[in-house]
Amino acid sequence: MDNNVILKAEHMYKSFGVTKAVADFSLELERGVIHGLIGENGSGKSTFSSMVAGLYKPDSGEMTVCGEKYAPSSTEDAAKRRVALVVQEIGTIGSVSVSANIFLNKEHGFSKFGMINYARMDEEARKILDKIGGEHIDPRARTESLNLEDRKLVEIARAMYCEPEVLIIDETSNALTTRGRRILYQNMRAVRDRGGVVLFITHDLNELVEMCDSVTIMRDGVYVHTLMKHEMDTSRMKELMVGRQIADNYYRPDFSPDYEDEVVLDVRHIVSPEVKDVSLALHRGEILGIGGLSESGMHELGRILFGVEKADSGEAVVTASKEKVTNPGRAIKNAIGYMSKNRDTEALILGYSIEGNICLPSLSRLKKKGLIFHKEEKALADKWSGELAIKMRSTAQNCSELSGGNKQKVVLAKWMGNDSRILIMDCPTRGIDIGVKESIYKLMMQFKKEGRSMIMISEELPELLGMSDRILIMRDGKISHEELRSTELSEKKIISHMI
Amino acid sequence: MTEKTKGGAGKTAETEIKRGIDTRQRMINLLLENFPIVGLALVLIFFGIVTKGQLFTPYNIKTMYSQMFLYLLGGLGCLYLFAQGGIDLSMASNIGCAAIIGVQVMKVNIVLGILVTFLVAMAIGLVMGLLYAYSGIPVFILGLAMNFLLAGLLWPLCFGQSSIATPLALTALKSNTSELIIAAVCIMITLVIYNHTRFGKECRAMGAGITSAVQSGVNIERNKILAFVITGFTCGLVEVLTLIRTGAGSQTTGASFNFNVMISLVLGGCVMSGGDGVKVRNAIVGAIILIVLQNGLSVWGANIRVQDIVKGVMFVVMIVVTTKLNARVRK
Repeated sequence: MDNNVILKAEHMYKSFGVTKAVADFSLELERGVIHGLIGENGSGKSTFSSMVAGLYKPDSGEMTVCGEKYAPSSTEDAAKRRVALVVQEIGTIGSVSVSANIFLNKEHGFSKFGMINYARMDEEARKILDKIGGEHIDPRARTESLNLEDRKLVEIARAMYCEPEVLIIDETSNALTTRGRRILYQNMRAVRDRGGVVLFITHDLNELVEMCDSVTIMRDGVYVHTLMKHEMDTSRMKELMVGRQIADNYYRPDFSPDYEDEVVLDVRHIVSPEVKDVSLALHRGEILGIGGLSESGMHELGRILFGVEKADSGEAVVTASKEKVTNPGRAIKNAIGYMSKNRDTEALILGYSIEGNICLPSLSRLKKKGLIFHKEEKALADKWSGELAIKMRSTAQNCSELSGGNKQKVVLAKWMGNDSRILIMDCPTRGIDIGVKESIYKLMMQFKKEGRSMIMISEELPELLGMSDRILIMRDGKISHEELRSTELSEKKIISHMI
Repeated sequence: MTEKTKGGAGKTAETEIKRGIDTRQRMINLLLENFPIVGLALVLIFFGIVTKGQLFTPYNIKTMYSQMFLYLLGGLGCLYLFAQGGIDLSMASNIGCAAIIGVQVMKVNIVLGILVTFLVAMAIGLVMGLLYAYSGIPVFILGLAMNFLLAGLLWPLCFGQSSIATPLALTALKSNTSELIIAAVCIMITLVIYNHTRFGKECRAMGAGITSAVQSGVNIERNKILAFVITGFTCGLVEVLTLIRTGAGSQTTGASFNFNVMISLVLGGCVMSGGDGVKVRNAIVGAIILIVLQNGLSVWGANIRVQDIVKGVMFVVMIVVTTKLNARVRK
C-alpha cells in the first residue's frame, strides 16, 4: 500500500506572525486520486498547498514525494519533483507572450549560447496548448490580450507541461465558465488517470462532489475530517467546515417580489461599447438581480451606474435629488455605494487599516468645525465593524490581513457608514466562504427592510434566484429578459435567456 | 464564527492571544514610526564623536538651523504630493523663475513684487498640476521636463545679468526670530491640513491605492492639481525668504532644491510610493538629518563631492529600508 503514496505531509506548521495558519496538519495522498481540500477562508488550505508547491517554507513538518524527502525552496524546485500549482489569483505576466508565460523560468531549455529560440518555444507551446484543450489560444499573443479564462488556461498549460505527479488546483474554477471548467476537469482527470494525484481546492461543493474521490476538511488551520466519495454530502461538509449547523437554504424565505413603487434610480438608454441601450428602474426596498455571462455587459453597466466608467449616451438619474450620476463622487453624494467585483484592487485599499477604509467615503460627514478627528473616525469604524460582526483584532488592523469574507464586510461597512441608500453589488459573494455568505445575505435582507435598494450583479444563478425581487438577464449588452420573483423560476429557464 | 462554538474559557484565551498580537503589532509599528528619529540620533552621535563635538558649537548650530529652515519648508510643502506618490522635480527652476521675475517687479514695488513672485510660482504649479492630472505623463518625467524648460527661460529673463540685487528694504526683514516663527506656523498649518482635513487624508489614500480611492469618491484630479499648487506656493515662499536672506535673485537661486527636498523626505522615512507612510514628523526629521549629515561631513573635512556620494548612498539605503519595513507591517 505504502508504495502507492505519492505525497505525504506530516505535522506541518506555518505561522504568520502570531496567527497560526496551519497547525499540525498531516495528509497522505495515493496514486490515481482527485482529492478535495475544503474549508472556510482562512482555514489554511491555501497556505498548506502553497507549502507543497514551494511558495512558502513550512515552520516545521516533513514532506515526502514518492517516498523521498521533499523540501522545495521554490516553485521551480517543486516543478523538478513534478509538483505543480495553479493559483487562485492571476498568475501570468500580462506584458509577455503566452509561450513565455508557459515556459517561465524554463527558457534555458530553448537557448543556445544564451540566445533563446522563440520559434521553437512557440512550437512547443502550441503542442502543450493543443494537448490541454487550449487550441484557440495563440502562443505568440501577448498574454494581457487574452480574457481571464484563457489566461487561466495558460497557467494550466504551464502546470501540465511538467507532467505533474502532484497537481494542485487552488480555487481556479471560480474564474472559469462552463467551457473552461470542462477543460480544467479534463486535465485533472488526465493527471489522475496517468497515476498522479490532484489536490483540488474549491468553494463549490457540487463541483467537489462531482470531481473528487475523497475530501479533507480543514478548519482554523487544523485537520478536521476526511470523507470518502460515498460519504460526501454537501450539508455534512458545510457543517464540518463551519463547525456548526448551517441551514440548507440560506437565501430569503419568501417567494414573491416585495418592494415599493417609488423609483429611486432611473436609468435611461445607457449606451457604451459594452452596453447597448439599457433602461431600468430601481425601486425602494428592492433587490434587483442582474444576471448573464461575464461578457454580457452587466459588469460594465454596474460601473457606469456608479460613474466609474462613462456612458457614450444615456443617463442614470437619482430620483431624490434629480441629479445625474457622472462620477463616483457625485454617486456617493447621492448615497450610492458600489462594491467592485475586484475587491482587493478596487473596493479596498489593502495596505490601509479597516478604519481608514470604512471612513474614506464619509470624510466630509465626519467633520467637526471643519476638521476631522480620529475620535469620530474610530467611532464610525467601530460602529459598523461591530454591526457587521467583522472578525478582526481592532479597526486599526490592515485589511490585507483579513479573509476574503471579512474584507467584503469591510466594503459593506464602508458604504453603510456613508448611509448608502442604493448599493450596486458586483459579485458580492465571489470567493467567499459559506459562513460569511450567509451573513451577507442576512444583511441584504436587513438593508431591504430598512428601505435601501440594491442592484446585485451576479454570475451565480442560485444567488440571483435566491435573493432577487426581480431579475434582469443581460445578453450581448442588452436586457434579454425580465422575471419577477416566484417559485416557478428555475436556473434552466434563466440560462436559456443568457446564451 | 468560532466564538459562537467556544465556551467562556475559550473566549478568555482568545482575548489573551489578541492582546499578545496587539502588543507585538504595536511594537513593530512603534519601531517603524520612530526609526527616522533613531536614525537622527545615530547621525548626531556619529558626527558628534568624529568631529569631537565641533559640530555642535553655537555657530555651527546656527548655520545648520538657517540651512535647514528652507528644506523644512520645502519638505512640508511637498508632503501632499509625496503622499499621493508624486514628486515635484521642477521646484528648482520654479524658484529660479519666480526669483528673477519677482526681483524685477520688486524694483518698482516691493509688495507687488512679492505678490508677483507667489503668483508666478503658483501658476507654474498650476500648470504642472493640470498636466499631472490630465496628461498621463509620469510625474518624474513631467518634473524634469518642466525643470529644463524653465531653466531655459531663465537666461533671457535675466537680461544677461548673472544676478539681480533685491531692494534693501527687503533684506532689512532678515531675522532669525521671524524665521523661527514662520517655521513654527508652517508646521502647525501642515499638521492641521495634512492630518485633519479631507484633502490631507485623501492624498494619502491616493498613494495607498488610487483605484480604490477613486471608487471611494476621491476627486483625484482636483487633489493632484491642489497638491501642485501647494508646492508652487512653497516655491514662492522659499523664494521670497531666500531673497530676504541673500539680497539678490540669480539663475542659480534654488538650484538642486528639488533633489535636496526629495532626499530630506526620504531620509526622514517617507515612503516614495506615498500613502500612510508619509508623515509631517518625517518631513521635519528628514530636513534635520539632511543638514546634520551635510554639515557633519563638511566639519569632519569631507569635500562637497564626498558629501554628495554619502547623500546618494543614504538615499538608496533609506528607500530600501522604508519600503521593506512598510511591506513587513502590511503583511
